[in-house]
Formats: sequence, structure tokens, C-alpha cells
Amino acid sequence: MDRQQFITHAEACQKALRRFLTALCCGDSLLADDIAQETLIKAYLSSEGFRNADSFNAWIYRIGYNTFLNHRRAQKQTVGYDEAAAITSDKTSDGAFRYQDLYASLDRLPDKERSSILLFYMEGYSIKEIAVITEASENAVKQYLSRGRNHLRTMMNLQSY
Amino acid sequence: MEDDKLKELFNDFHPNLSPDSCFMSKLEDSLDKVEFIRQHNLEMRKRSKKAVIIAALAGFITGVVFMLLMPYTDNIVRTFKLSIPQFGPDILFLSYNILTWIIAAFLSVVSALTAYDITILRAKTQPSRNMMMN
Repeated sequence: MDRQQFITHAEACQKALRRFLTALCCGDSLLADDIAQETLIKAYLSSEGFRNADSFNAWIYRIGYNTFLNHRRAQKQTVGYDEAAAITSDKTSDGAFRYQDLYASLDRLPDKERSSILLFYMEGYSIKEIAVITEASENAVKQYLSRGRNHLRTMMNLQSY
Repeated sequence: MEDDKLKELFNDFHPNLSPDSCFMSKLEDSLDKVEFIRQHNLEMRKRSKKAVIIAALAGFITGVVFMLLMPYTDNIVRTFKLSIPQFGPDILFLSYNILTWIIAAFLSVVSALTAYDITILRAKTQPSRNMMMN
């Protein structure tokens, strides 16, 4: 895959990738963009031998997911999301707080459950595809989805979604 | 919560992202830098390969020249009077031969290393084609 082909593919998938990473990062769009940039650069570095254009998106999501996990491991302890979520705004139309409940709920999910839920419900990937992206078995993905659903159900109901 | 509600929840999820053009512009800048470094590394590898070939040739030629001069170098080595009185003349001759070969090997290695250092130093002082084009 040459540079121009790569840029064409990247342009087509970057919006969905950033949306996915923003949800994975619980609303931190700046971090999501940084991870997306790093993901695409890593993909470009290994794109020489990549032939199967049909699986480009899944491949990018796999790199993105692993890059996100690397960031999480390297992340220092910061202010808990609960404290940040307690901040209220006078502007009811402020878009930054629109998904506050969703981010708070996603933040409480373990990384694997969160990523499985997002890949399945947001991106529409099958269990088999999610297993390839997250490098887990299909049974493990089913368990993450089941637990993630139960957790979200509990949290979103409690917050009267 | 049913599956449909979860799907609906995420279908309605449209966070504010930075403009696509800004994102792609930043990405293309990064890719330019990646290409620059790639080309630079490729050129450095070529120069290093060239230095190794020159060093090998220099060492080989030094060794061949020394071997051709062997009949004369034997006399030179003997003049250093490295004699071992307790051993016989055959052992002395053997010692001189071994010493000659050791000197030949040493000079070949020194010649190869010197040629390598000089080639690498010259390559470092010349700017890479990449930098000249930019």
C-alpha cells in the first residue's frame, strides 16, 4: 500500500475511529485525537506489506485499541472522573456535558468490557471481528459483552437515562 | 436495557471532534516526517555498507601486499633479534614466521579499521541528499 492509498483509507475511517476512541477515553477528545494520530502513524509504518484493503478498518481499530491500552498503562493517577462529573455548567446547551452520563457509565466499565460494548453497539462489529481486534477468544468477548450490558443497564437505570 | 436501546444510545452519540481537515493536515505532517527519517536511515545504511566494503578491500589489499613482500619482511623481522637461545634454529624460524603472520594480520586489521573510520567520517561531513533537497 503506497502513501496515497493509505491516506485515502485513513481519510475514510478517521472520523469513526476518533468517535470510537473518544468514547473509549470517556469524552477526552484531545487524548482520543492523539491516540488516533499515533494509531495511524503506526499503521503507516506497517502498511508496506498490507494487501487486504477490505480489512483495513478492523486492522486500524486493532492498532487503535492496543495504542489506547498502552496509554492507559502509562497513565499516571489523575483526578477521578466522579469529581470531574460533579462539575456543573450553567449553560444547558453546552455540548461538552451532553454525554456526561454516558461517559461516567463507560468510565466505570473495565477496558475490555467498554471496548467490546463500543465495538459491538457503536461500530457494528461481530463477535468474531471483535475477538480479532481485541486479541481475545470469542467466548471471552461474549462474556465481556454480557457483563458490560449488565453493568450499563444498572448504571444507566440508576441515573434515570 | 435491551439491545435496541443500547444501539440507539450509541447511534445518537456524536461527540464534538476537531475539524477533519485539521486532523488530516496534522497526520500528513507526521507522515512527511516519517518519510524523511526513513529516507535518512536508508541513506545512512547505504553509506555504512560502502564503508564496510572499503574497509574489507583495504584490509585484503594490505594483507596481499604484505604477503608479496614476505621474503623481504622476514629479514626485517629477523633484524629485531627476537631470539630464544634455549630453542634450536627450526623453532626460531617458526617463531619468525608466526610473528610475520601476526604482524601481517595486525596491519590488515588496522588498515581495515582506519579505512572504515575515514569513510564514515567523510560520509558524516557530507549532508544527506534528503537534507539538501529540503
